[in-house]
Amino acid sequence: MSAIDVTSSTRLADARITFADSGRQEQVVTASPLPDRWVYDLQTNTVTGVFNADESSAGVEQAFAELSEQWRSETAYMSLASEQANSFAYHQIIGMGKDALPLIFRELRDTTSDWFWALRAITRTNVNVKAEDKGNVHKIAEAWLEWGKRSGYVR
Amino acid sequence: MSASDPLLIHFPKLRDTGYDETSKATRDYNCLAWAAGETHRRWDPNEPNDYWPAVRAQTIPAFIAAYATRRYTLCDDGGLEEGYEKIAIYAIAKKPVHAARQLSDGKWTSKLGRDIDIKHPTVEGLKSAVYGEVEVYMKRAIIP
Repeated sequence: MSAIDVTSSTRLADARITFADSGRQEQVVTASPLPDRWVYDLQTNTVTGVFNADESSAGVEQAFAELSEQWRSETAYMSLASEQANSFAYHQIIGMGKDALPLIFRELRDTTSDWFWALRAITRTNVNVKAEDKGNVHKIAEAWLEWGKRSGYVR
Repeated sequence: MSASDPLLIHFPKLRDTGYDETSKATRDYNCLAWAAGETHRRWDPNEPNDYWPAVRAQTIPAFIAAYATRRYTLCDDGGLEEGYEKIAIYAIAKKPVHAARQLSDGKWTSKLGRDIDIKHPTVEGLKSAVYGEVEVYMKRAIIP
């Protein structure tokens, strides 16, 4: 795919597309809201609106998936949370900050204890669990998911 | 057990002794809980919401104190003693990172991180860059 010139019309829902090589006909594409940029696919001869937020979100998701896999491979046999978290891949996930939270919460039901350390680091908070539930990863994950819902990270 | 087994890459001494897989992988408990005979929760001094029955510190004295709450006392070695069960605490540079429990036949059982439980013939089998080596042995009388 290659980017092409875009001239916005006075109406934000429309965009007037002119080709840089001027060898093709002008196209008018409409979209609401107006995308951040348009991308023209040379093979299919179609124009698609791209939002920066979509692109950013996809990038974070891919990075999260790659780093998670790397981290799990490196730390599979480590038992303590602090030992598991002492990994550059895990540090990078924490470094994603709040962008990583929806992805972490999406995985939390299945992977439970993998993410408690990162959640505490990113959110700078901790959830309360009853004394009798200490160490019960399912109860701790439930408490975090409740926190995630209240905070708008879990739909 | 095959040459490409990732366990043997991390614990190369298991190549000599072999091991048996005794459970599927789970995150419900960890090695420290498994050594104490528990499978319903994790023991971890560094994770505030995990269970830990002593002062929260990743030190040998704190680990000794934790297992002392389960009647374990220090002992000299990991040899099989009739009427007793033993645990071995592994450490890297005096920092405890793993624990194994002796079985009635003298072999040992370990939960390996997020992965499986195994039965391994010797404590040396897990001596590695991951777990270091055994720093402390503890034992308790078996209550009939």
